[in-house]
Amino acid sequence: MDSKQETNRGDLTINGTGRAAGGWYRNVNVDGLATINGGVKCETMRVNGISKMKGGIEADRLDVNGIMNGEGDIAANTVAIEGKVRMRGSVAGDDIRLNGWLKLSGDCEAENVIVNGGFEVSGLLNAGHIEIGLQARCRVNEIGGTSIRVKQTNKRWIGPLRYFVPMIVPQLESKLIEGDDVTLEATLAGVVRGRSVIIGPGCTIGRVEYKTELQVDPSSTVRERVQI
Amino acid sequence: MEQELISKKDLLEEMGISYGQLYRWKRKRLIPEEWFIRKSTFTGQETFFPKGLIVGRIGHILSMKDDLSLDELVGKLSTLQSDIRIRAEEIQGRIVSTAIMERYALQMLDDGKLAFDQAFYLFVADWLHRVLPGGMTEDEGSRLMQLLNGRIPQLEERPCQLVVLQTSGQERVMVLLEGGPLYPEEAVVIAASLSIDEAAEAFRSKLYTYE
Repeated sequence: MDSKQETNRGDLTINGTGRAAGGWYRNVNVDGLATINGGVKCETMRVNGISKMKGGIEADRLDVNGIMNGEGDIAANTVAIEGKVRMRGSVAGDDIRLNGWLKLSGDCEAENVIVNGGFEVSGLLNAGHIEIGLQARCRVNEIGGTSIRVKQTNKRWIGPLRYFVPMIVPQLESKLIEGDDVTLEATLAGVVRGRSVIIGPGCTIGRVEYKTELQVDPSSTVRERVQI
Repeated sequence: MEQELISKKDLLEEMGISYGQLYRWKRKRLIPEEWFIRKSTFTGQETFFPKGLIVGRIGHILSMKDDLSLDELVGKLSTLQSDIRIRAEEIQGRIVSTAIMERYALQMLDDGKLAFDQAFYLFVADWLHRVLPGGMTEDEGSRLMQLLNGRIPQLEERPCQLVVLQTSGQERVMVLLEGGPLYPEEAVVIAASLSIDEAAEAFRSKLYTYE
């Protein structure tokens, strides 16, 4: 793409139902239902409604209020999701804020990740600062970062529904969690490694390796504790 | 080719760094993805690194991080690679054929090791040797080395293309092309063309695969 096109990019607006090609735009606005056939590079992308992506997104800011499905990697400084996003790919950015549901087949990388909801990430969640407010099942292969905080939000009644819809059980599941300061609640993890590790209520952890301090809530089980 | 590996735990201990730092550098691509080698151990899965490479790289990051911000460090990745020293026997036969190694590597060796870019130039030479009909003559090879050594650092990571032109008199000329099409006269044919970026990618992936 040459530089001339880069400065004269137009906007892409879809109101109602529409299809568009991928490419370079300045602002992308979707109000309604859109299919975008190809990767998009733009300054801001806003989806209100439903969009289907057949390519990645490279943007300064990505706002999803609604549903986005598709395949491709997302790279954006700020990613704000209110709703549901399902992408076959990875997400990389500076700030990622998720209020809702996110499913990724790749990794998720950012400086700050703030979650209120649930997610399913097949790869690594890597961020400097991770804050997870559990509203649904959060499942990720590995977590790594500087500070990792997982909190149970106010419990609502689930009862026997947990057996039928396991997705709504607010719990974090991960094979490996590594960080400097790790604070966990309602977590099911294989190995947790950190400098200071605080295990709150409702956790089941296979092995904890810590350096300076370890606190374990009496309602949680930790099979092995190792100080390094 | 057996590589000495170091576990993540030992690495943190040895270099005096934290998980947070390691993950941040990974995010910033200061530590390439290929260096993270997963192996199962009796405590579950653990991550290992090629020891020589990672210790050199982290030492480099630590020594530069006081003067430069992380983002500036990322921009210096080309210089960062200068911290990588590759043992000649590591690439001989596996990445670069023995004939090419014997011809050109000897004068570049420093304590039995090669700098990253030197090893890469050998890789390019090896490729050309295989692609060009009749292979490269010794003279062409040393001219190629001179060209790469002299010009690639000047390009500062900008994408470029290595093109070999062949005249009807079977004489070959090598050119580094930075963007734009090339229009040779009719009697001249393009004998080979190689994107340096793609070659570097291929070289890295070959270098960092461990059996």
